[in-house]
Amino acid sequence: MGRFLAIFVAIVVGLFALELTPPLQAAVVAPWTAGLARVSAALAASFDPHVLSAGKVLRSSTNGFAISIEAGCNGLEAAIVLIAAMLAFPAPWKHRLIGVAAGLGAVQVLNVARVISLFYLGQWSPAAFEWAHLYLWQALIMLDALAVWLVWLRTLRAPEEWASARAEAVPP
Amino acid sequence: MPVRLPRHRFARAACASALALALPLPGLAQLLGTASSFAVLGATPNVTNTGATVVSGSVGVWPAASITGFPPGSIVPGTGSLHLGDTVAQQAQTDTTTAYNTLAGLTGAAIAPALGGQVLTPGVYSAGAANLTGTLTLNGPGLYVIQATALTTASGPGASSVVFLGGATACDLWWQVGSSAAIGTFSAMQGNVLALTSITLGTSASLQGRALARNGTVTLDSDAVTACAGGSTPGFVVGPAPGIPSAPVPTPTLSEWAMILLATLLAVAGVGALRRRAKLR
Repeated sequence: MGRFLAIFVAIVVGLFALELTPPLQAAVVAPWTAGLARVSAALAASFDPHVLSAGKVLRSSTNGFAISIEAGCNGLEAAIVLIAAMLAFPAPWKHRLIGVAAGLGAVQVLNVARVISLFYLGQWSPAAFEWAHLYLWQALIMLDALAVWLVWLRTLRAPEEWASARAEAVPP
Repeated sequence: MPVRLPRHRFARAACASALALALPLPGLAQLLGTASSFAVLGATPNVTNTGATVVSGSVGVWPAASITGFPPGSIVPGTGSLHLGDTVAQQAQTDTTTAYNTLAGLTGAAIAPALGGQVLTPGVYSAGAANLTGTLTLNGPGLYVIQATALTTASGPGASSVVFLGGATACDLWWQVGSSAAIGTFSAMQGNVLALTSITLGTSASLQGRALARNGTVTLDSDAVTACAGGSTPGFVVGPAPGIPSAPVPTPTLSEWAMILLATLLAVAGVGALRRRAKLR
């Protein structure tokens, strides 16, 4: 248990430190953020032709309201915490990789929904935007990550999985 | 949270504040005259735009008569119109020149050209070839005039920003630039930029204020420019009004505390799973 916690903390710190480095910001985070804005704009444009996307900014051409998907807004940090937990937990590597992909996908899908909903909430009511932004969506993103984590842990319960993980952990 | 200033900065800021109080700064509307209705104003050879720029306020050029890229650029309905070499743009240029000369004639307290990390109180400052990387903090209500021989801001998400505390507002910030200003891509710039030559806004930059170039061009690229309708000067209010493009609102997914909470929950659940696993053995 102590080993799991130590590895978890180490991976979280390592991934966050890596994420903050300028090369990774330029090569991964900025394109990822712009991609999130484009995906959000494309989805919103499917039912609203007045949505514009430029880089990280999603803007309404009718009233000029805009949201900016900044570093920290792109769901990567939440995904990093989840991914670190999966990598730290003793499990077969195949299982870990599937979990990482599923976790990243789940957080990003919900984050796209969050961005689009905040885009329209902000145009409708600044107060509703603030409330949803500060409380509702943070709770939902956390619940999403927690649900993925618990489901992933549950799929590991089969004894053969534990045995396999133990076998991987034991040095030859 | 109160901002603690280093002693030398406090002295410098206090000095600049005293200067500002002693100078008969005109009201902002008086200062800009008819140019106050313009968000973007250029001179020669043109004003150019690429991409879906949204401007709140008029866009004009004089003595040239060429504005390109509108559309796809657009002006929020009811906030202004295009003025290509007409008498309205001509008068706005005349008023911009007056405002520029007024700002340039103020005596500013010298500050370091690297504006990031500085904390200023209302006043007049002289920064030389100013560059903004990181955060410039303005603290307190009142006018801020930053004189610069040139102005650049860093590109990249969150690479440069101006933070307003204690009643300071974007609309009370004035940049008097002795040559050209270059606002970096993705920058969220604030304040009224009056440049002697040209003003360039990088891709996806936003400017809450105005881009007024006396002799050169204004270049836009998928930007948002919101002419200030606010400020602490009487007659001005702060913040986006209905129909006015807002500066993009950042939308963080999780706060620091939420991330700590999430990590704790995952850790607890993980430890629980490991305990169950130990019992199964």
